[in-house]
Amino acid sequence: MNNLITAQDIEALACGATVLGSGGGGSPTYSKSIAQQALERYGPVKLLSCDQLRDDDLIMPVSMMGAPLVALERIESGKELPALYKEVSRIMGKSPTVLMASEIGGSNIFTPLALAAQLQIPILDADFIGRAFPELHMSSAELIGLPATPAVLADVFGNTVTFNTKDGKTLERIARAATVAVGSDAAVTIYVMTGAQAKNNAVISGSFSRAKKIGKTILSARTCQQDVINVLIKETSGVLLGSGVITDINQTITDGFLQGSVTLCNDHESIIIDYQNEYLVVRVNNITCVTTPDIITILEQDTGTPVQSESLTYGIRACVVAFPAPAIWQTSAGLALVGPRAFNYDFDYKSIST
Amino acid sequence: MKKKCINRIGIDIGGTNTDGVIIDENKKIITSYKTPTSNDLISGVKTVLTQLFGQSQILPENIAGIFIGTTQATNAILQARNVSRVGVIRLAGHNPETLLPCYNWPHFLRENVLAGFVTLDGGFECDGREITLCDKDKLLYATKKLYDLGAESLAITGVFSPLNPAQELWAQDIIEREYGKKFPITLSHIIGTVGFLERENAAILNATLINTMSQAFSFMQEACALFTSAPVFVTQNNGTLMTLEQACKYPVLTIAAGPTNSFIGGARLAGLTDAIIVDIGGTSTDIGLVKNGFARRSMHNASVGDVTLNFPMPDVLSIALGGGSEIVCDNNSVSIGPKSCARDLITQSQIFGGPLLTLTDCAVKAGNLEIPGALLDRISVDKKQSQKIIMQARESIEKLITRMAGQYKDLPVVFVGGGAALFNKNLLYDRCVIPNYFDVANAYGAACSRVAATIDAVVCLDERDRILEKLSAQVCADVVAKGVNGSVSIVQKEIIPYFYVPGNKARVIVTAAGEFGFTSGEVLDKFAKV
Repeated sequence: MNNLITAQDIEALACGATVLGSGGGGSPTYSKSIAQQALERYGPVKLLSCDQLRDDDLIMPVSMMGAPLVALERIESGKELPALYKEVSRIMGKSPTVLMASEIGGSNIFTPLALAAQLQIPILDADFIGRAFPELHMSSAELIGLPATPAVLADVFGNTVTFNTKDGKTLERIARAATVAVGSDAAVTIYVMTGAQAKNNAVISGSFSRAKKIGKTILSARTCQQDVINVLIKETSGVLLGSGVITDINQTITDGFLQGSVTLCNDHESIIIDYQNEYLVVRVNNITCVTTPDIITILEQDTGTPVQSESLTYGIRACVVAFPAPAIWQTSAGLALVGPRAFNYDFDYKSIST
Repeated sequence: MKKKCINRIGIDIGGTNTDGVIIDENKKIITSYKTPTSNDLISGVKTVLTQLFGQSQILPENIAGIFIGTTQATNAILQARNVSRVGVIRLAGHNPETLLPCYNWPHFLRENVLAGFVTLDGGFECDGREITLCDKDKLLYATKKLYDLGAESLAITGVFSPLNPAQELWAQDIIEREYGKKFPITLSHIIGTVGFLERENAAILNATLINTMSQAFSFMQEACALFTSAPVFVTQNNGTLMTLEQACKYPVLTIAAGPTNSFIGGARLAGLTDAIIVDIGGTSTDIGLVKNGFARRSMHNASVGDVTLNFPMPDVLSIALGGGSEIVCDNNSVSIGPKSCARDLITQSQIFGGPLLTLTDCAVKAGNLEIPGALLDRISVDKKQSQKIIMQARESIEKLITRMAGQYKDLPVVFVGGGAALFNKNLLYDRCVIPNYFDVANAYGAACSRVAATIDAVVCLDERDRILEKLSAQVCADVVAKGVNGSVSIVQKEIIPYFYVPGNKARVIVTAAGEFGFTSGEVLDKFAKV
């Protein structure tokens, strides 16, 4: 099956990726425009499923890391991704044949698209997270023990830094410092891998299609003037946790991360959602009902527009919908990396599907 | 003898009509007048002023101020009419080629507005360093190039200029030294906040409007000066006043004043602080929500003519349905609008002998509305059909009211605008009202505009609450110093943290506003100077 990503898919991808971002991942407003222009200029990009990979394919997973605020002010120059590609080709002794979004949730779904369109190479229908998480080593590849390095970081001028570290967590710490040094927004490639490795569970397969399906469901329900939330929970694995009006937002910025809690109220319930960039824990009438790594989204009631933690506003009428986490995060190793305790909570994972 | 300036005049120059009111110190309307908007804008204003003074017998020296609201800036952009060609300068040393200026603007607008653009060294990182150093010779060379491309106005946007405006100010200074006042220059940091593209869009729109709007505002002032020496002010998006001089420099800030004025004016006419307002004009209907006397802000990025901006705008739902909407009957279905003959209702609609069936014709036939001399037998539908069509229009509006109201299901609904009369005897529900003077709600809203002051400062947020409180108190005192007596409230508070600069610093913008005082003529003179 030849699956193509075209400029007409962009809006659905942006919507679906924002849902999967679980409140985080950054706003795709600028990144989607960059991707759209590239697709209009260079033509569609091929979307490759994991079973179409050749064992000797070289896959370059990419994402932007840093402060979302900087991405909205110091716009990408367009030199970042080509610099990564060139450096990876040099280090590996061959050019990558497939690109991938490291993180499907939020802005990063679009990061590989412009370069893929320009070079006319395919994008893999997969990612490392299945949602958004704040740190580089929160990755399916880390779980199966794939080396995170050699990893490369590139800034707006095309300056590059290459890392060789003992594990993903160390890479995260050093790369974070490098990102701050280049102005808090940079492109990175990590866990560069072969087709054989990708097929051996290094990635979460089907993420790209999943974002597209969720986005298409919301947009077409909206166009047909149907009850968007109802259609969404019928057509996808999403479960409605409740609805209400946003009555309180309590947030601070600590160590570059947005932390806080948001309260939605209706006549008989209050729903409180904690977040650290991503929405992490939902309590209905003070009872914890869903936690990370399940995907938690706040959707504007009328339009189904997902609302990210950075753009929460008082008075929005919204629904809270949760999706089950990718299976790999529900294992004990997965929960150790991204479960509630990894975000300093003293309780265990509560899944929407139990 | 001390002057007794107790009256204010509000004027709304809309696309279809120019309206005016005179109010007294209790904000009671003394008299009102409505006339079609003239092509030159000014003769309509003169007609309104002549009638207001004639009808009321108020003396020109009793007028404390004339407050003008206008949708001219919006209309100029929607039609790309009388706009200047803009040279766009980016101070962005990393040369962001991924998203170029105006890349997602409607084609016809970009063609009419964008003369050319250059990207130059400069811009700041989020930690305060320069991205690259600015270069005077390159700036002058670029300016020459833009001039040769036909630029009549310049828009300058630097990366992170809301955190540090120094480079934008430097560029303006260099260009003005070389070219004098040949180009009006718009600096982005004055108009918008963080979000490069939206701020650049706002700066470009401002630059394209600056010549035509400053001319229009000057003509308005001249027209007003024929009647009274009272100062002229312009209402801006947030329902507060700008001096005429500010409005000439920053016309983009008047772009949403029309709906803001009609929402605030409508609520006040009905004596309410919380209400849904339905403003039915000749071509379209705007619906908004007033809470505590203020128009609710939109939570999404605002857009004008499909250009996204990032400054506060009122939350508005619009539908192409008004008194001039043309009705097309086709077998069993009836479509209302979007075509409208609003400005030519008097010649085109059936009750005036014209060929087109409009919503106004149906309202007359249905018995909702009486128009002297209306040719009832020319209307091509019968009474029952007319009532059905009016019901259909009601239902479309009702849907939007429900959407706007959301949780505030029980808020009263106020109908204003010339088209409100269509539903006069056919209100949607008990909680609907059509207040007196409903057809001049816009002008009344302009007359009721508030006085505002803004503080824009970089502060350390270590004692966040205490510092915000101090700034709020200071800005409220500034408003009082402008002659406001009575309650003053904070209308906008924006905090832009400097994430990676040591010292927990942030830029804080606080705006407060209060009711205009009616003490003496001195007050307004003082405001004009501040």
